[in-house]
Amino acid sequence: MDPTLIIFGIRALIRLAREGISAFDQFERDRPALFPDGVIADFRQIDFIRNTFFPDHADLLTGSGAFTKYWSGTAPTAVPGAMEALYIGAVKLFAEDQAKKKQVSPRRGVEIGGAVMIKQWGDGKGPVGPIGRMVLTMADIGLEFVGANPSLFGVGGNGEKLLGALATNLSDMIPDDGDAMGPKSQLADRFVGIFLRAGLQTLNDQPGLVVREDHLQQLIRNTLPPIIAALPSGLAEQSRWRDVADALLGPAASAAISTVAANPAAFLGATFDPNRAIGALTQAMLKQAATTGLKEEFTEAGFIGLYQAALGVAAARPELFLGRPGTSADQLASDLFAKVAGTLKTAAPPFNSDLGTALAVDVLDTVKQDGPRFFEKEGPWENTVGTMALQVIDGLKVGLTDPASGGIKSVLSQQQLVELAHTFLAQAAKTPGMVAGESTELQAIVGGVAKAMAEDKDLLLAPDDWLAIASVAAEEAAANPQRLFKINATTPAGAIGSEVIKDLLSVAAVELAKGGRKGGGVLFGATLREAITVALRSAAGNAKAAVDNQAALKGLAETLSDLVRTHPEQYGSKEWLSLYQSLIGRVLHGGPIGPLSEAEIRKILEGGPVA
Amino acid sequence: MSPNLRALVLAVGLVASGCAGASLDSLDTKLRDLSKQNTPATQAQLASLAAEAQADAKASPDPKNRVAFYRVAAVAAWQAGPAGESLVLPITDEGAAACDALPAKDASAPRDCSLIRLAAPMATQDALTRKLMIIQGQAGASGKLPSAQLEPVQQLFDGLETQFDKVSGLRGGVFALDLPEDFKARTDRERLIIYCNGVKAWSLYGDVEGAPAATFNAMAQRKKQMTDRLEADGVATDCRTIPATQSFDAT
Repeated sequence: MDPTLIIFGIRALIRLAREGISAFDQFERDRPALFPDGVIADFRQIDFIRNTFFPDHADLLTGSGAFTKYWSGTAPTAVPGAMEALYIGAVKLFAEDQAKKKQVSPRRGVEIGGAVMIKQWGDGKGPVGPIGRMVLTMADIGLEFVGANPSLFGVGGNGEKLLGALATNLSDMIPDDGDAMGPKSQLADRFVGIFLRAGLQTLNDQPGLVVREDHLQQLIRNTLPPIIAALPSGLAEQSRWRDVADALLGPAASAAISTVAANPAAFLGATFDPNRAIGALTQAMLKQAATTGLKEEFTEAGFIGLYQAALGVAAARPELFLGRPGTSADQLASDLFAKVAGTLKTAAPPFNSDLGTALAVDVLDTVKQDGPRFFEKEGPWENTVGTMALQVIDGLKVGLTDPASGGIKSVLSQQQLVELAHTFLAQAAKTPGMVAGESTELQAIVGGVAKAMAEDKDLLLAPDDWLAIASVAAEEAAANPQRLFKINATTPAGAIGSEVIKDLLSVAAVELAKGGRKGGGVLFGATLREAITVALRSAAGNAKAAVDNQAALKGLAETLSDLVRTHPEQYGSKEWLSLYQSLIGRVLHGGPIGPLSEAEIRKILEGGPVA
Repeated sequence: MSPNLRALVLAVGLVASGCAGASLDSLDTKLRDLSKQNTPATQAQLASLAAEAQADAKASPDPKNRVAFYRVAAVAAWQAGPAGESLVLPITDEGAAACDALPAKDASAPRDCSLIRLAAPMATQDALTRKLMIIQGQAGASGKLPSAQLEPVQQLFDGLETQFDKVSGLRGGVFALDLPEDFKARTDRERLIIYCNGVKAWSLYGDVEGAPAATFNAMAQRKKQMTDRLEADGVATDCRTIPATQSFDAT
């Protein structure tokens, strides 16, 4: 990655953190604050009299003045009624004085008594509000990006389109507590920044993307406002929501924009708007992550992987999210994540983690590719995604938990385990009915193969060999239901597929004991793989004969192994396989073949008919 | 970006910004609640609150937050009455310096800076008025005060006149800032309150036994100058309309 982008990302994060705190601080600073009254002394009649007569009308109190008899020096005289006469005179004088002073507002100064709460700023004079803050944040991030990545902001550049799409939706993103700078408003500011940063980086990383602004507008409208509005009310839950969104919203925005850009046709005049499904999925993923957490079983990568796969389904088949009467896209998306997370959380280790979500991703990819035709018609397909993954996991559990062998974990790496699971899932997806209803056929097939794999204690087959065998087993079992890995009262004898594999592994183990390669044996690796493949394909078409002649089939392998080992100068791997392939039908129909003459062997190898 | 790096970056952001909002909100709420009660106990609490806000202001790395904390400290010290008298001037001096240090000085935080600057003369006028109310309560049945009160009452008038000058001097700055109209009206109301208390002090001087008429009249001229200044600003000078403070320590 371009180091400039890393530095930019760090700066943007710091700025966002600062912006959020700074906006909150600003809100707290600018809240109405107490402006108390000063202490006021009792203002008596005599005070009003003195204040009115002095100094302008003091002449009325002395000499021939009208109120002389009521006044002496600095105070009223003791004449009865003096105070009343002076007060009436003062009221009259005061009214006359006020009338002369037209500029004086009689109410000015007295209209707001007592302590009051007063804002920091006059109307329209304070710092910017919630929308302004978002615009400033966006501009700030955009400007810094311009310096590092000028091509994003050329005429018609993707960066401009993203900014335009965000700007168009600004009013939708302002929550109802915007004026109060409440937690939703702060969250909105933060999320817009995260979304923009992730979006710009995605567009920069994929300069070839052709993205339409109206698609981005729709995407943002359906994504950001719902997750801002969904902020829980409790502080602890809010904190969790923010943490999860901080971790996941950026990658989610990147995935969503990539999906929109990669599927332009899906967004043109579609009956079902995939954007709505994307919005619902984004919110559902965050909600589920907030519930499950990102520290234990499922990590950020697991959630984003699942989200990306679900986005693929939404883009390719929006009707799956939007076309079910009575079920909203939000509910469906929420059920999808909840069921998958809930199901996988209880799955056998190591599938109770991101490894499990990788299987669910496989299922979703299959849904995207083939549609949910392998599920029950009209049923809640979203509930079955986890169940389908779990059938594979439960099947594999047989091999994973074998205490004697150490299980198939000693054969396959975790990634190969996922590939193995994918092999079965891919086959199941092509086979309607395999997982429909209460069917556990998929689980039986996986279990049968896993059980056989667990028998490979000597590691006679490489992981790739096992993956190839699994593919054949799945294909044959799917094409021939209730045969190779039938689960019924006769199990394990009924699971002839497993038995055939185990018998061949047993023969190969004996070969190994007799010296293996050094002793001239050939039944290992590719030869063993092909032998198992031939056996499975043959048994699939005639399971009853395979069950009846299981010992004879094993005997055939033993006979051929002895033959090749004792005549290394004449026979090798190719001959072993050719003879096995030619004679297996005879064994299935006629039982043990008995000793083989050299002439008979030569005839078979030369392509002659098998007696 | 790895979780560790993200955490570090966010931590840097948080530390650099200083999360002051929650603390300020808490102090403001306390200030509002305690100011309503006006008892000796709450006045002591207001003095503690003033000291706490002053400490927060000194510790705040953000200049605007610092000013906001000083505003809380100044108003709390003012409202603490006698318990806060020793705190008012240090706090308002520090607060005024913090305002001067803002990028646009008082215009960066107009209400907070104006309140900080008004707090000192208002707290002083409150202290003078409390003394005035005590002296007024000492009048005998005749309504006269002993002549020993001549000088103290005159000093009260002088002091109130000085505070009126100070607040009137601040008025120009207040009216030039982007403040709400009710803040500006409130400033004039405070001037009217000081004026009325000044008139009261002057009038009480007339009630002191042996009050010289010449001094009384000279004080009346100074009182008139205050009247004229108020009326020139459009403020009616009818002190009957302002209800007296029911103060616990008035008597």
